[in-house]
Amino acid sequence: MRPMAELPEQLPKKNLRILVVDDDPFILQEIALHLMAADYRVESAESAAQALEKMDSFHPEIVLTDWIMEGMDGLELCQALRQRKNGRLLYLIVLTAHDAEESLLKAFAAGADDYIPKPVSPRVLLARVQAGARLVRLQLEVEQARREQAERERMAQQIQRAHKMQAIGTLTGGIAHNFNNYLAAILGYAELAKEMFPGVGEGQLDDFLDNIHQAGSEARDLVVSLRSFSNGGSGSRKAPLQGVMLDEIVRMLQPVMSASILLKTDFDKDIPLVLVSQDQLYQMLMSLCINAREAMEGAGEIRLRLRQVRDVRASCASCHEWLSDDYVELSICDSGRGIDDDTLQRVFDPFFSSKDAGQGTGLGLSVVHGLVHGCGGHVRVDSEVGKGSCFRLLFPVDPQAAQAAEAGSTGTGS
Amino acid sequence: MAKILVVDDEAQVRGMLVKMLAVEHHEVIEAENGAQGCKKYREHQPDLLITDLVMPEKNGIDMILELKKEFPSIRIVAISGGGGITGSFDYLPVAKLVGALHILQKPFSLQALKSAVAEALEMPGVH
Repeated sequence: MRPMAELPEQLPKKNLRILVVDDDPFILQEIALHLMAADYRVESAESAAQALEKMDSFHPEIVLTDWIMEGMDGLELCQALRQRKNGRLLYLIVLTAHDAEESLLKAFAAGADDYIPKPVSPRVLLARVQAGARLVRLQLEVEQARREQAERERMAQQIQRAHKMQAIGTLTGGIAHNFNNYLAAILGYAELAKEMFPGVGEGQLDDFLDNIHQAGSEARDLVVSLRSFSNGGSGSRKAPLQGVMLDEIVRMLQPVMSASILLKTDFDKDIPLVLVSQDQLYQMLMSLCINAREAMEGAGEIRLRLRQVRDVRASCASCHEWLSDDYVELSICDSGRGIDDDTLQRVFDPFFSSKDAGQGTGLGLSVVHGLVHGCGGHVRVDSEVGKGSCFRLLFPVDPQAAQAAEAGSTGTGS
Repeated sequence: MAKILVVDDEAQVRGMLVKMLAVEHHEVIEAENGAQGCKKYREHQPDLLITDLVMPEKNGIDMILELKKEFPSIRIVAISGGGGITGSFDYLPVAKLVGALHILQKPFSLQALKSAVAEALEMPGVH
């Protein structure tokens, strides 16, 4: 027999919770007192039904139950407890006067881990509970290690995703640069040819050159989007982000939304100064509202809200940086079909599109990522399948920018 | 008609620029990087320098800074695809800062080039 004091040092020093179940109040009280004296946290139940009720509030690690009870008996209780969520982690001890081999086997078959013969000897009680506690503590350590491992894996995955976004940014920036060179030659020669050889082949050459020019121009627009993703669209003039600016953008968005889409706005007036480019904000809101429109299949409500959010503690949905700061938040929420978790991991990737082929460029959210990060901001997404999505653009509250603006200089463009 | 030096490491773009300028009856000299550009500028002392910015062996900005010291009234039109190979930095505003009279984002239209060249040639030299 091992007294409590000899428990190995390295085990977690936690007072385990024991639920004692017996329909005899005297036995119940006696067992409870012995266990409390040995520093366990104890609750009692006078029936199996009461025991099941107490499970959710008390969360015991060990349940010690009498076998023969009115109503549901101890073995039925063991079976019921094993069925519960995390029931396999419970340590179950049955008190029994039936110490015949067949009876004991029945108790183990019902899910018991151990038994204590009746009448109960306090020393045997403590020894067996202690043996159980040792296993429970080991199990808790294993669980803890498993959770820590899962957390480490989650972090590693997050870092990997952040690296991926950076790598894609570098790649798209490089592609954009080279493409602009090729496009300069393609578009330039097409224009030059048209100017130098007008009317050749009864105007057919002009047509062909126009087609080349048209395709080249579309490619140029694509490259502009790619560059916005990789460098956040530099060089635009900035102005304070306020309701007035947003009202104007909303007016410009209205024609793109159908009559069955309601744009609701709620812009707080009292927010810290944040500088943004109106063009870029328009571009971001346009992408987000078009996505919202698609997600709602043409009818529903889009809510735009501007407010200050303090001490945000979450990671950015696209660059995965951990945030812990105050921001001015512009949220765009829809009542659409929502985005599942797998899709959510990829929505900011360039050329990823959940729309049918040919329906979208797959650059809308990539541009949002680029532009919002270009102003030192971040983006968060909450979405529930069937309920809707919320994209939250977070702009940093910058004291320096506020001072510069007060001094009357709001232009930072080139 | 003017004497113009075109500096770009991309042969395709350089060739196109040369033809565009030739149509306008300008005399064109070519160089394929900043180092060669400096050398040819000193040699020919053209009326105008049209240069790319991201190039190997002396980039456009360094070339502009170097020539500007020797030829304070140099006329420059800078062109760029924006960004370097890492794509994250836009050099065009920098070119303007160090003295380019016009900056053109590639790809640019024939008309944009023509007017940039015409205006740069009309402008008084920058001292």
